[in-house]
Amino acid sequence: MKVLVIEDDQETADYIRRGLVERGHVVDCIGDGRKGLLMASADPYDVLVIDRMLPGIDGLSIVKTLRGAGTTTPILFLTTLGGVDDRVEGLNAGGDDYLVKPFAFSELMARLDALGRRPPLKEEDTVLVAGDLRMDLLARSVTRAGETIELQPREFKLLEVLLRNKGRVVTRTMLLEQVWDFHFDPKTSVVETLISRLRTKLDKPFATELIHTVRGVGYTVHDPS
Amino acid sequence: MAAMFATLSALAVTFVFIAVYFEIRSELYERLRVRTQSLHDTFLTVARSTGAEGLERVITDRAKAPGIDGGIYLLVRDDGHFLAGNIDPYPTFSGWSFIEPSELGAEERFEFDERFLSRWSRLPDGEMLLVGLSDDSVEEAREALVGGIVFGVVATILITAALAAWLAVKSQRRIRSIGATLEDYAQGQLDTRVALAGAEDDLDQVAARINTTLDRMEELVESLRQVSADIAHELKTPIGRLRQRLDVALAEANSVSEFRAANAQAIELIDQIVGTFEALLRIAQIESGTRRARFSRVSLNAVLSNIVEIYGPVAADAGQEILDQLTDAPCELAGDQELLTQMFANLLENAIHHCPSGSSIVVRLERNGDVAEASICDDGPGIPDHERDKVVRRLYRLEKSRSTPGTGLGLSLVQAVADLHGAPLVLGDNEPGLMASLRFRLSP
Repeated sequence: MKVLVIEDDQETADYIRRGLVERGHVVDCIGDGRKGLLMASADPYDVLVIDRMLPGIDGLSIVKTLRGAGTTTPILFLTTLGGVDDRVEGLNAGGDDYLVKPFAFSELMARLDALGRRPPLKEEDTVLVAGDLRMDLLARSVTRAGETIELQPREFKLLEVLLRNKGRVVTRTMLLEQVWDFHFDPKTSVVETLISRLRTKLDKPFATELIHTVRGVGYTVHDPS
Repeated sequence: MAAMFATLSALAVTFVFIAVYFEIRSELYERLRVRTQSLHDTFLTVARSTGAEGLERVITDRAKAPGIDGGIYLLVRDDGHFLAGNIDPYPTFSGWSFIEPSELGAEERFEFDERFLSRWSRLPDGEMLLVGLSDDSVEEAREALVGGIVFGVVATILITAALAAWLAVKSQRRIRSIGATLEDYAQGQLDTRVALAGAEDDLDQVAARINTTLDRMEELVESLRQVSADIAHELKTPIGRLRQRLDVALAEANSVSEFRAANAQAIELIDQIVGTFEALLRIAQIESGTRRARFSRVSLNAVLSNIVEIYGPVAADAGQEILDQLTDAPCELAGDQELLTQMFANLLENAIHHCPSGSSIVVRLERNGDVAEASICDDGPGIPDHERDKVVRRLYRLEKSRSTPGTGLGLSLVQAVADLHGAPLVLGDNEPGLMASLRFRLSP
């Protein structure tokens, strides 16, 4: 992926660059908001990472300008502003995701992967597959090796999110947001409990495991290698 | 302000008086005209019954009366030859007119500014009759009227000016008092409030509103102070611990794997500290009340049934059971869905956390008229009476739970969200267990 990072804190910018380059991505970092806006308008990037508090022009204005000019590149806000309203403000301005500092690099990476690889304006898939697992979103049915599996609505949603992000890691936080619409960290094992139930129905009765835990990061589903 | 009021009143009164004056004046002149016409008609009747000679005799007799009785009469032949009357040179015109004394050539006989409202008419035989009455009575009335008006206007101006000044002085005193109170407040005296005059008027209403605002501001300042104190005190402990661990690792760790382990622990601790910090900030933000501006229509039924569905499996894993007793009656109000969800999630998690395996947790929603009561009741150990007030204080943990994970902010957050929605949290005894309930005022 080609990533543009508009961040005025040099250390944070370096931290991000190092991590992304290690994983084979191309990264441009710029600390000035105006220059960043120009770069974002001029070059085609797969995803933009923009800090909200920048000298000169602030992140929110940059995003509004880009969206106003018709840029559809996915944008992730990276910021210390983690208030209840700040996130809504960021998403309303045209941001696609919002990550609060301090953050774990794995969290940033998982979210960028999800944003950057999103096929633009493609027809929504109505059938998702992984190995011998088949999920029909219209018929609301799930089968594995031909056998129908009964899922509760919440379990269905969880599987859908994992399958839509097939091959990528989905963090616990991402799951809380997308499956439960929770924007806080529950003190109990909401995610773990449901993953465990899903596994019981989906993985245990079969030979191969489809749902994998990535320690310290999240979960992933991929085709068996 | 008072001056403006006085000026406007005076102007209004003056306009009224002027209008009245003109009305009366025209009425008086109309009366004069009617009297003149009536006299004229009388003469005509005489002429009709006794002929021109008869009228001539009547007029001659009248003219012989001493002085002018306020009327002028003249009868002439159509060639201008004098027949009878009490004037000599005379003006000619047709119909009605005012005759000035100068036109009669005998100024010394008349009042200086007297005029005669007069009328010429032609008799059937060709003679010309002139009849006129003096307007001196009208003039006298008019002068009296003007005098009265002037007096009235001046008196009104003086009275209104005096009243306005008195009102202004009274208000000024109270306005200055409000100003002084606000000044004291700005200088840091947060418990001072505006004194009410007990008059229940506009100024008192303003004063009452100002006092409410000052109350609110004092609350906010207190909340801010509280957050600062909490952060300083409670975060310094884990930060201190972090420092100690890193210090120890620096001094004692030898292998890369030991350092790695210390590093990993440090990151975990930092994440915890950040979590506590964010939670404190969130609570302060909620307490500031600004979230209220973004309220939307929320269904308590939906929020609670969602929570029950989400935590069912979690409770089951802990060997507990969640029972829902949610009314079918719609319970809707203006609120923040996200915050309410988090609040109920917190309460339910607390119950799951503190209750042993085998417990039952009931999530209840009841509606009574326009009030809905939501409660989460468990049959676990509960909270002792004397601790119930304290648990909502930030970072307070019950003695027995101090060793378990959690920041102790859960109930503070619950209370903040509850207060934001005007539904204060009530902790009670479920006999046995804890009952956490909130009463919401519903929207129609």
